[in-house]
Amino acid sequence: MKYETQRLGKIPFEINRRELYIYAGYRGTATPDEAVLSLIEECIQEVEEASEIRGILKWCQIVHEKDDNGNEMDDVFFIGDFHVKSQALGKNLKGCRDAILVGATLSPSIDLLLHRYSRLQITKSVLMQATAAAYIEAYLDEIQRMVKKELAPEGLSLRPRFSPGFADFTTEYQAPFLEALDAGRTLGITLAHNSNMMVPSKSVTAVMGICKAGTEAVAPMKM
Amino acid sequence: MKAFIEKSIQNQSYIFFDGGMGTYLQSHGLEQGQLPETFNLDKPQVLKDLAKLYLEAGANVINTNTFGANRLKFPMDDPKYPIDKIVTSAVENAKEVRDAYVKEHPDRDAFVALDIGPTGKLLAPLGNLDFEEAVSIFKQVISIGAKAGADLVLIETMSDSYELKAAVLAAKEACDLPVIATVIFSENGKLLTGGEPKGVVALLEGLGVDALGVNCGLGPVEMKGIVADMAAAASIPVVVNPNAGLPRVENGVTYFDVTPDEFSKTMVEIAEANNNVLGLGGCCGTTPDHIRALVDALKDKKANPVEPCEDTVVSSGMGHVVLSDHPVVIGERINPTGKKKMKQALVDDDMEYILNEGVTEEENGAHILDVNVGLPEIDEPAMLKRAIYELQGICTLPLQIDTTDMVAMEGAMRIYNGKPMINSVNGKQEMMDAVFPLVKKYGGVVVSLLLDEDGIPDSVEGRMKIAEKIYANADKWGIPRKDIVFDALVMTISTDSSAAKITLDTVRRITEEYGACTVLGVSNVSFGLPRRDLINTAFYTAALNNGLTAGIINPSSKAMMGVYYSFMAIRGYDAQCLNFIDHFAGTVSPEMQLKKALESGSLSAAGGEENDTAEGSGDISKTPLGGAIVKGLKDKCGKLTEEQIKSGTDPLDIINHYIVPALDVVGQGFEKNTIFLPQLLMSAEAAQACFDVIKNELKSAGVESESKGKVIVATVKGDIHDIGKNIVKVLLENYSFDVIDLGKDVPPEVVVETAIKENVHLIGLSALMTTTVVSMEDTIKALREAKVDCEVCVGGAVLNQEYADMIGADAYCKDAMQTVRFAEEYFAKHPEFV
Repeated sequence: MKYETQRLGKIPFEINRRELYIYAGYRGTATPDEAVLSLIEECIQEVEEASEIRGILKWCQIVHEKDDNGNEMDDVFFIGDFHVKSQALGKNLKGCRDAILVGATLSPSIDLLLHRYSRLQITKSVLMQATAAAYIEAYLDEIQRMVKKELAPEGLSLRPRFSPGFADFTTEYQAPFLEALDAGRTLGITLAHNSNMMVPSKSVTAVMGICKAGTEAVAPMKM
Repeated sequence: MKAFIEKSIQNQSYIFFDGGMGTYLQSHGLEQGQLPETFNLDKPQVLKDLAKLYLEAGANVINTNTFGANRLKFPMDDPKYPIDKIVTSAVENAKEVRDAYVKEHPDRDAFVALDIGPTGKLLAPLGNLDFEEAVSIFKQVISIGAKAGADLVLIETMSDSYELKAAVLAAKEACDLPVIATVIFSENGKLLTGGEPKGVVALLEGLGVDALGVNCGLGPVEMKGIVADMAAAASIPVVVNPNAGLPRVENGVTYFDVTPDEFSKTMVEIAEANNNVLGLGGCCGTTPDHIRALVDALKDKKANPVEPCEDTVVSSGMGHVVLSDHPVVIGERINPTGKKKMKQALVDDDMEYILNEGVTEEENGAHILDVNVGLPEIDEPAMLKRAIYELQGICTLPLQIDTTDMVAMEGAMRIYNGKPMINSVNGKQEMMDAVFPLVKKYGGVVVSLLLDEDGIPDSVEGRMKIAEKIYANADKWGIPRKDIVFDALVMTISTDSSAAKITLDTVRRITEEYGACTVLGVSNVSFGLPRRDLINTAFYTAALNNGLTAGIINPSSKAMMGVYYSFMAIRGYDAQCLNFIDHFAGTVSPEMQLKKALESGSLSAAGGEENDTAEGSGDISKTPLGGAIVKGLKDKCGKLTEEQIKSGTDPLDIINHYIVPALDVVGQGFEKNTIFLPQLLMSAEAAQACFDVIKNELKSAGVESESKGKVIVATVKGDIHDIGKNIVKVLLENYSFDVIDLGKDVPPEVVVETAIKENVHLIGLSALMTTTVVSMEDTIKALREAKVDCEVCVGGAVLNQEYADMIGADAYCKDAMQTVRFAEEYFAKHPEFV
């Protein structure tokens, strides 16, 4: 395994429009009408023009801590230098020896647009939020595809992305996660003052467990 | 240190800075996650050893270990690592080594730089750290460091121009030490918040730093282009502190691969290729060996001279405009003079109106926005500060601060994120004595009106004399002449037929004799005449031809912008006329438009649209106005409402018979999941357009609009995502509730205070995350403890009924429509609160 840090700029990817509609509040198979669709296309174009999308991947080893009896604990472990105690993430990573810490952001220029529309055009504000979210998710999906492709020859694959804020992997982990990625310097992601929310707001951190091909699915968990 | 910088400029000798610290500390016991500054107290010898190594390598400037030292990380009351001890010990450690070294090597110039890194928090409005709070955080560290005896302040690795400004201002206000500021650029040549070298240099030189530059992020090779841009834009020494290449991580360890020899070789190339580059050192991954190689290669060589850049530049947080490159447009719309709606917006504190004007100007091609909010009946300093702050949060253009109130001017200059344009100073001594000190402190390009105590000279000669006087005064204050732009003053030709000629001749002479930039308030020329558009465009063309840099015009005027784009194309400022084509391809002249419209019959005296006659018919969507609201056609709604009022319909009837029923159709559709959020909001915005027309109508008739009750909405403390709250606000307003919007990240006490002060009995709180639901609970508790007679409804992504009950809310509203319904029910129960 390469234990490296990779930095990524813009890569070609396709935004998932269905996902965007869901973020914008559409349920089921409902599709926006023409007026909304044309606003959405405007939003996509604006996000593409204004964002300086970038990401970072840190390939790390997972090392479980041992309990008093010397048994490895499923829910207490290091991913590289990043120390985590979480049953949910432990379950997601079960059977993985390595994982990738990933961070990505759309840059502050998007926040300026979001701020502008939230003050002046609420419809566009909602659609812009949805577009930016779908955009960064699509970026991460593409990264995931790239990594999977790279891992495939070794018979390896990836677990679903797992981000702080899910279950007991709380947003309290956002600070050490960003530190592990040196995200302030590499991506410009910081935490808001007195808060666990990331700035720029359209930023994502996630763990991607590297697993044997065929074990990508994680059993549903009860918390 | 100041004298040393002077001497280095004079002698063209290099100033060498030290290199990286992190790797050294890690190899001497710094654990992952441990704050490096704790070594100042726990392991001072490690730092002393490193400082000595750098001095021995030849560095003139050694940094204190205070990069991350601020009260956010080291509170004053921390029992073990209070901020004052951390900073004082850092300075003392470095000074001790330096003093001992200089004693042994009396010929060596060596200085201790108080190292200041970013706070790690992004400033509001992008983040939520208040600008003045950031200034105060930096000021505290710098005061301590200066008192402990640092020789200079080195602000470094700044990636946000606003935080950079806060740090430099703090340094200037906290001490008299020289200030050097270096920033970190990404590979794309921009700051993380978007600024480019030219804009950063303008900001920093405006703030009066002693040297500026770039550090970290990139290796010397990757930095070449950025350094070239910075050096070309600068008029003061430039400092270059790159990493030893780009970082590479292997087995969890970060490596920088550029060897000392490679490093110094590229640094020599950088130093030799650019003027102004006097400061050379390293950042992450560089070692005493890197610095030694650099010093050995350059210490006996003469540096290139420090030469001024004569460009006139204004900047914003994300952009900059070089006025001396080619003509630009300054948007004039944010100014109440002669604009009834803007006046009303200012009186009503309607910030949205002002922001909308700004965005429209930007979309229509303005390069700089003039901001004037002066009205006798409002608090101008407070309003100007707010307008500047809000505009820079939504718009990337540089702003022109336009006021005659010096308190307002300083307040706005201080919080402005960039180097502003200032409108204005003039030849009156009193004015120059008031404005120039502010420009000296905060930086800015000053519009200088060619008038003085004796009024406006009626000759070119007279105006040129005043220009001389203004220059002389600016010289005295040390304000570079490139930052003075002249307003040759436009008077109406309706009262003095020679007025325009004097103005045009003055513009030409200033351009030719000084090479200075000029500004004109173009449309004044036609005051009192019919068809002002004809005179204005002719005059604007003539002015551009005489060398005008910046016309203050209305960017929405197609005729004026037509002149601008045509001029740019004719004068060769628009390669292949691309910009012109972009703006005008596919458009037709107004005459053609009219002809076509008449031919096709689409233009009738009545305005074309059929009249709205479907009142009382069953389906509101079938009426033109109702249908337009349901479909969310904002522009059409405004027009249709105006027409209805013109045709004699009572405004209140329009609300009751069209707007409310149409909103109900949409609201019910939303509740039934047949209409989704974006459509709901489009209808809400369309209805808003109707209300705007109606409100104006009622106002001019002297009738107060009806309110169904007052509601406070707020996104709770710690939460910076306010979209949900904003949606609720828009819908509540649609349903005629009076909404007090407290914004985001709102502390509980502000909610309590406002509820009491404004006598509000219904409060809506929003939170996005589980972690901030706690603040929601705190806010509800605070309201209960203060015995505010109110009900609280809550909403937000992570909330549900159970949660709402748990934190003591009176209601959980799963979406904006439910909040509207809850408010309706509440005020029906409590008519006394309406």
